[in-house]
Amino acid sequence: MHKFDILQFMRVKLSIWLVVAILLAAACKKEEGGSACKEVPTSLASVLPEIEPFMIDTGRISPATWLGRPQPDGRLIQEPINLIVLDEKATSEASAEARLTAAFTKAGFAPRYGHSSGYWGKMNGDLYAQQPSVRDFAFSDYMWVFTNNHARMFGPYIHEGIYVWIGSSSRERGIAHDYVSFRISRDAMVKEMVNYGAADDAGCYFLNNKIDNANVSTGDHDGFAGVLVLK
Amino acid sequence: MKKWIVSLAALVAVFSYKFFVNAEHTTAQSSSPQIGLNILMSGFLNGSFVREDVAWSRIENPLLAADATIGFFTDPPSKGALFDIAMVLGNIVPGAVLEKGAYGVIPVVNDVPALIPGTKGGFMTIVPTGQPVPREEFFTRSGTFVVDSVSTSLIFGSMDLVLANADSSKTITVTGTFYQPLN
Repeated sequence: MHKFDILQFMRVKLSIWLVVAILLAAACKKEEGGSACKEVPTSLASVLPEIEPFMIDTGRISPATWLGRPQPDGRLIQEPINLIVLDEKATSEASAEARLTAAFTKAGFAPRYGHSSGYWGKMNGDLYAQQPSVRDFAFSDYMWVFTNNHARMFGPYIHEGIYVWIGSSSRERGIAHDYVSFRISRDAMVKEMVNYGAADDAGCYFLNNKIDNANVSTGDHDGFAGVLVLK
Repeated sequence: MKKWIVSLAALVAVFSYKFFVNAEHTTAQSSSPQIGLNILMSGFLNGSFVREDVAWSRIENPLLAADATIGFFTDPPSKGALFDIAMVLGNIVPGAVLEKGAYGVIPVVNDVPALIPGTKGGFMTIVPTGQPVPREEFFTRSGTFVVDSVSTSLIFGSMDLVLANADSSKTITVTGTFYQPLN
């Protein structure tokens, strides 16, 4: 082989290895960071209250566990808070509720029937009721007969004119409402809220609420909440 | 550079072929019993479709027997298909299970099926794919489902239905069969 050909061959080989290394690094970052998204800016993180990182089933005043149904592996699934919505433009609790519902609806997640309800979220030690507030409703992209992404939001906690909502977003199998994923649903909601111009993606906030022990798990949850700022 | 273009072209060709195969898979017709839904549609959506990709499940309701209902549904948004579809049948008699016979159409209002205790009924929902939100959805307005056979291991039957969108300005006529092993 000519010297020039060898050099060219080495360059091509090096380029391939570089591409492979970059792809591997990206894959590792995604696995480690959960959703490979940037951390929420300190200016926004500083307005967040102390967040109880699980949705609360008030019937038992304890973390909700998918109606207590054991998963196929026999463990209970605990429902994490994986979504935070900030609203700097609301002027009252009523307007914050209306703006939250309008934003979810605009993004294709209107309040829909067919989901258990009446859960609570906790911020700075106080309980906050569920939105949507109508019995058996949640924000959802498809009718309950289909596999769907749905969320229950809690709040608003108000801090210096910023209205804070926390929520649990999950994907369930149609009709039987079996758990499918927390991560797919959260990411779909963040993506569509941005795509439809309802909110800006502010990044991820680490809630350290991933569980994987002998009795309980949080499924595919990565410990992060997606943070959205309503427009 | 040429190598990269050739590689890229090969990848595109492979994915295009897979997409083509999947698309055909959802629309091909067959004379033998097909698992899933085998339907003919006319109106807002047209064509014959075999949807083997439907999953099945039961409604979990403490007031109903475990085998009193069955539902078939896709996993939206279905890639390479024109629509997502769901169908539910129920024998709403306390303690009863699904049985042979005709099932009338149950109205669905704001996602709530108006189940009438003591009756057998069903409904179908179709959501065309590729729509911006809010997505237009079609619900059964008239027609009949027929269960030809049902056991612990298999259910099959047919349907002859008319679905409409919310303001009834668009309709879809659906005729066809369902065939589902229950193991």
